[in-house]
Amino acid sequence: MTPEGSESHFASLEQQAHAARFGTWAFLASEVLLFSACFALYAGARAHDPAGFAAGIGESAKAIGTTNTFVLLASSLCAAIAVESLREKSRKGAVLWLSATMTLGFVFFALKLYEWHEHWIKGIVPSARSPFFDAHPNQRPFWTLYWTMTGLHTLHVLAGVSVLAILAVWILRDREASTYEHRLSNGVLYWHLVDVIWIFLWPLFYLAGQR
Amino acid sequence: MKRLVLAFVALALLATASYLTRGGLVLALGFAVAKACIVLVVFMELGRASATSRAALAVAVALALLLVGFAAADVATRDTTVSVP
Repeated sequence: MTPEGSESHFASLEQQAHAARFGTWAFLASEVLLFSACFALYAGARAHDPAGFAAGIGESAKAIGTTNTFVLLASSLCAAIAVESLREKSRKGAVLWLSATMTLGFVFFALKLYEWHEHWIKGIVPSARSPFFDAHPNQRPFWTLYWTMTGLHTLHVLAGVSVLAILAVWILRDREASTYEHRLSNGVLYWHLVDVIWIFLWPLFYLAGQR
Repeated sequence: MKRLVLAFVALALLATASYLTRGGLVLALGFAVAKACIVLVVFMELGRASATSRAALAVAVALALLLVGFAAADVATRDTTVSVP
């Protein structure tokens, strides 16, 4: 017989929640390793040419990068409050705070698109030929890493928003909030990881080493 | 709720300090580590996670640090002198 609210191969909902929690943390660990390859490339390239990286950071859009930092930090707060709301059996509150989190995710994405557009019109493009890189060849490694790492991170933001949207729909449809509390807290863990990765990308591409 | 809001205030203050004191890589990464720790402990509730979950994250972070550290150390200590035959 299936215990109430759990899948058939688990003895209880608690056991299922524990397994899902560990699975989520293992997945997050694999995400850390994925980004660590990029951070290793950054470390090697920066150690090779610190001046080129300082010049690249001088060109980066600090106002947008900084705004996006505060946007993601606020989104993490909203996501954490959404989990608290569901623990207090407030489905409406959880969905409301999840909606706020997703809205901030879209704000981040919109600002990122604008930032990429601004770079693109200056000729800072991920391309083999560009007048900007003809004039500033030492900045090429910085901008290659910038496009790769911010692009990969933005894909994660979009994936996170999708996960949160699915969770919001599930919570709205099902009146038994307790079965969704661990699912929501696991989904929100992913969102927080996206925030943590940006916490490191921000100084590396916008602040550290600027003259 | 109060705990979460306080954590956000601390994150915002650290981010502001990071922006105002921009310049040094070590200092900027120090602020980033502090912010990441707050997110991990307060928002992600790492303290409430099982020992196996914490171990999974610790191993990943340790491997990431090894990879980044060795990559930077390798490039920074290479002898780039070209010997002329």
